[in-house]
Order: sequence, then C-alpha cells, then structure tokens
Amino acid sequence: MSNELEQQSWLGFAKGNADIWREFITRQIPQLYGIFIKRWPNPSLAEDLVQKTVFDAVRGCHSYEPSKGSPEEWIHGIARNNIRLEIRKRASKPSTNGNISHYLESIDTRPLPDEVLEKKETASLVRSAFGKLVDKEQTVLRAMYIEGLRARDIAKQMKTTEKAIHSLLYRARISLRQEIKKTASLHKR
Amino acid sequence: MDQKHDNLLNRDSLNQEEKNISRLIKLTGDSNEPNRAFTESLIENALGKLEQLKSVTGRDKKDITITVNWWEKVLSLAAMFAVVCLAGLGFVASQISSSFAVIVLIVMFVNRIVYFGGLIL
Repeated sequence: MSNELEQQSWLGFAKGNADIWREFITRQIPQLYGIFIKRWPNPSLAEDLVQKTVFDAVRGCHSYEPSKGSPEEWIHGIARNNIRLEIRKRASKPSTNGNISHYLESIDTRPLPDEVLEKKETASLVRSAFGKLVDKEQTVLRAMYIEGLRARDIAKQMKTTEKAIHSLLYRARISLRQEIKKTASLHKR
Repeated sequence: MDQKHDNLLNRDSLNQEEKNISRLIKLTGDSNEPNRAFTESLIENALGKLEQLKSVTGRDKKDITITVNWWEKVLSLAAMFAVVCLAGLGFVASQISSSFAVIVLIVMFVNRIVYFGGLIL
C-alpha cells in the first residue's frame, strides 16, 4: 500500500504537482547543500550549486521517469553531474598560487577565486579580522550575509531605521575590508 | 564621458567588493546547513519557475489545437476538387481539339452544378 502511495507521489512529481514539489525541495535543499559543502568547504559555492541543481530539476521535470527510480535518486544524479561540471570548469582554469594574501588584498577590485575561499587559512584569517569589528558591525554583517535577512528586518531587530542599517552596513564592510587587508599583510610577512 | 566611465568602474568595484565580502563572511558562519532565508527564497523561486513552465507548456498545447468549422471543411474539399479537375482538364485539353475541349468543360461544369445542387437540396 505504501509502495502504491509512493508511486502515486512519483507520478505527481513527474507531472509537476506544486505541493509534492514544495515538500520535495524543502527536504532536498539541506541534503544537496551537505553533498556540495562536503566536496568544497565554500558556503557561497554550495548555495550556487544547490540553486543550479534545483533549477535544473525544475526545468527537466518532464524528463523524470518514475520507472527508472525515485525523485531523490534522480536529483542526486543531477547534483553529481553538476559536481563533474564544476571539476571540469576548475581544470580548465589556471590554478591559484599558494599565497592567499595577494588575493585578499585586492578584494575590492577582483573576484576571489573559489580555491582561495576553500583554504582553511582564509577562513581563520577572516574569522580573526571579523572578531576585531565592533559588536554592532558584526551583528549587522552576520544578519545580512549569513542569515540572509533584509535591511528592513534587521532594522526591526536592532530597533532602528532602514537607512541607519544601510549606513552601518557600509561602514562595517569598510572596517572588515581594512581588517582583512591588515591581517593579510601581516600574514605575508 | 570619462566621469561616467569612472562612475561605472566605481559601481562595479563596489559590487565586486560586496560580493567578495559576502562570500568571506559566510566562511565565519555555521556551514553545515544553508540559511533559512536562502532556503525559503529558493523554494519560492523554484515553484514559481515550475508554474511558469507548466503554463507555457499548457499554452503550447492550446496553440496546437485547431478548430475547423463545417464551412471550412466544405471550402477545403471544393478547393481540392477544383485543383484535381483543372489538372485533368489540362491533360484532356492537350490531347483533343479546342471545340471538343469546350464541350467537355461545359459538360463538367453542368455536372458539378447538378451535383452541388443535389447536395444543398
């Protein structure tokens, strides 16, 4: 009986039933994120790959065949394919040199390579620079970039205006950039 | 122009800086699971895309359906018949004399009028 229900749910999935898809994506996002973060310890890249995998699945919804396996197996196949694509993309790019300070000193002009973000020393350097910021700046940066809140919601939480949050964010970014550059130049010596 | 170019460069570098800062700050958080805002926004966007794709597919299917009225059927049959008759007539006319061709044409015309008259009545 439960097998029949499962088959019905798979058919609904193939037909693009919104309720089944909502439940499925909600369950899959943390799993996919876990797969990607295990492969590359880089939260931004993991988010990008989760997003790509989910949208690939949505676009290819009609190509899913219940007779070939469960939707979980199917979306994990898409995720594996995206991992292969990422590996191929990295192989075609010139690899970064060992010195991360060089990249961190120019964060305002050039995009940081993923390989730099995945180094343990980058994470520890950023944590050390972040720890030197004043509490308000740490709170606003964490709320904006880690929790993904909007300026309006942060303003409510911090009991201030949206405009004040924007200017606090601006100052916090400058402080962090300066701290990172200072820490990176110390690291170079 | 240079001022405008400089402004564009400044805006690009600001965006670049913000992107890099965002990626770096994420390294300081708990990286075992995605944040709630990201998850919620991804679910809503993906379901929106799913609905959009479903409506596009539905519209395509509607476009393929062609409704044909009875008078369109009659007209298309008449056109087909006329083409066949003209081809046959051309062939016959090339084989026989002109006076006989005129007689054949008149007979065919009268025959068709009688036929369609019978259909209508």
